[in-house]
Amino acid sequence: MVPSAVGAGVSDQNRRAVLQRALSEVDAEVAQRRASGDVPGWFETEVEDAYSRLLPSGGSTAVRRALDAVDESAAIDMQVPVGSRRPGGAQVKRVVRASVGWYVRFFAAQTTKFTLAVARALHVVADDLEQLHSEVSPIAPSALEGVVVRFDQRDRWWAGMASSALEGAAGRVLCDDDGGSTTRALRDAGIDAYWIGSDAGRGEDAPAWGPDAKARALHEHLSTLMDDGIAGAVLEDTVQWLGPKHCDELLSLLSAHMRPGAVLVVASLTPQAWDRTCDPLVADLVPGRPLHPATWVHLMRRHGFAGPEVRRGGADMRSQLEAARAAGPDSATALVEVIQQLVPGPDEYVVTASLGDDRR
Amino acid sequence: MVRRVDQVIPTLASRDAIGRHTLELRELLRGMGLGSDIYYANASSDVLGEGLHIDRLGDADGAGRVLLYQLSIGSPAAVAFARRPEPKLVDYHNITPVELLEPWEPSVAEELRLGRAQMRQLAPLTVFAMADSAYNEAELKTVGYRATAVAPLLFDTGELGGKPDLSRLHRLEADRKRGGHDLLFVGKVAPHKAQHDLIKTLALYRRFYDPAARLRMVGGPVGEAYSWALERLAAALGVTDAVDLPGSVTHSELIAYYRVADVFVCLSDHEGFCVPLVEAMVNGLPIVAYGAAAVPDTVGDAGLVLDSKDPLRVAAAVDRVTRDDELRGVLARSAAERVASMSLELSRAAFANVLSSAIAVVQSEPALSLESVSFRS
Repeated sequence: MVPSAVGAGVSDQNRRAVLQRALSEVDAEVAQRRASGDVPGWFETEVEDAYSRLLPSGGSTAVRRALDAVDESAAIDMQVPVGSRRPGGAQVKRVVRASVGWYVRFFAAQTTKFTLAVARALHVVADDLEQLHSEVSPIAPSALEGVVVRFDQRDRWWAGMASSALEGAAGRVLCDDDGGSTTRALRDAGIDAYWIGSDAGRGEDAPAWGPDAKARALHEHLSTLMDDGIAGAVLEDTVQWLGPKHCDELLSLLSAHMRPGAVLVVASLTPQAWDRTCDPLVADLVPGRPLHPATWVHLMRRHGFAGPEVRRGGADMRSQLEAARAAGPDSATALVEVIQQLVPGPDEYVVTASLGDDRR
Repeated sequence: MVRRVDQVIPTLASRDAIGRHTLELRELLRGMGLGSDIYYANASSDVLGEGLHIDRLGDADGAGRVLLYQLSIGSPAAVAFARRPEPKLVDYHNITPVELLEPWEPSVAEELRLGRAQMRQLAPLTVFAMADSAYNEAELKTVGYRATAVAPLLFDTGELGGKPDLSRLHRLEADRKRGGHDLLFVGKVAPHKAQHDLIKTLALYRRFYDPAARLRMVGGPVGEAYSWALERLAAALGVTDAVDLPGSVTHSELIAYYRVADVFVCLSDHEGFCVPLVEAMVNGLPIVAYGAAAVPDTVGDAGLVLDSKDPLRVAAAVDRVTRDDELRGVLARSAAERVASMSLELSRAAFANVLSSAIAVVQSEPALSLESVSFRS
């Protein structure tokens, strides 16, 4: 019970003085205890470390929790309880336990051996799972701020394809591209596109767009949108370094903000392209790899996008090459241009799909 | 001319401080001669009839109507609110910082992230915003709310006390007979409430001051992972038998915990207001608290407020409170005054004053809706 009567006659000022004195004396006592060696440093460290060891490390906490339960129940207790409320009951149980103990121990030992082996196997699986998890989950997007994956600026062969797919879009079109040239191509085609990307990737044209150029992370931008008013989206920058898990999250977020029927265009490098077209330093910094087009098709369907269609960058150019060759020697210049485009790449593809009406 | 102020709330729940505040505020508004209804996205079953679903927000006549949004988490209700053309008010109860929850409960963290984003988004649409602490008001100003004021959380301090559940009381008293002090914390079992720091404190308190002390942490869990970690931590520190996590309890059971405890210890990393601190005051329990977020605003001089969570320091402060009669007397006196200053009558009057200012601002400014700014701004 709190002795409220004790403080009844104390003024505000004196009350604060009492509190201040108590705090000062608490501090002095703590300092004195530590100085005197009364509180061993190792003990305080142990208390702090005990919690640090329990902090979540990825998504494996649930598995570890389940494994702890397995460990706790893996060993069979062979000491059968002999307590009894009946007179002499405990004595009888003791006799029974002693007489059949050899028999019970035989089976219990084998069962324990088996359960421990199973528990060990589960630990091996959990270790592999954690290893796998750390490999497929890219580092957080925020840690990649400032890392810019440069596409070859000469040719964005998919810009025309994206413009056609987005033609007639009834609303704003989000365009996540490096430098803003795809955004410019869409705007030139009469599409109400706005640019989103990192400051480092801001193109020369972007500042002139005013509020239509937003220098911020794509996830962050999508999180700030309150309606489902996006009529279309072109993704070609952020998606280069996101792993499957974050691509999945990105599509979930995006589909929640897109209108039914909205068109999504993903333009990406193929995974193999990293070895040839990417700066080695960037490749080393970025643990993620572009996805294969089949993975995008799977993820898009999963989030309600219908009719995903894949087109590879090389196809058109190869047909151009054939056309140039067929035109004869006069078209040598055109032929050289096409060959330049084909060597060393491009290893790029586009996936186009539209959001279904029944996604919700 | 403002004729009615309707409230919009993500979830209306009878046992939630913001839910109770919303119901009290409706009565206050009606008492001021204004029409007032509550629109919710979700509601607990016992208060379903106290309001209308958010889908019906557009049914009422817009002339002379003002909308007030209870902001504490991300919700689709904010979108419905933002799209309305009526003048808008916001009542802000704070949003837990995402980083405190994200490692443990990513899905909850996503709602918090959305809440912070919606808070920024609503700033240019809102003509006047209220906050239930100076700390919360400062956050509003930081993200661009123009006209703001502190308006108290409306709750009846008389309802925070009451009769204890006798069965629970007897069980807790039986534990006390074995000796040792009882440390109490009340709040959801969640990382930002830092129950892990309380367990650390208990370990040191038992080692250096009171080997028989117990820690009771009442409240339902936000997720499984953190509760599991707390159990593991208690085991690692050898205090499993001294840590009681009873989960969510009834009000009368809660009173039993307050009656039996010796000190209320709060080491939360974030609190927008923390009604349990006031409950501790009402039930005569001295407080030792870490001064995070709005905690110093709520506690005032009614507790020992520390500027660090050093477990040894907290343990020493708990020891000091349990054995210093003069200090406990001062804390009790301050607590009584603090509780009196938070009476529903005084809080209603203070809130009514703020509302009058808000309505004056509403009448002088044009209303804005999401359409009028879109996401280009």
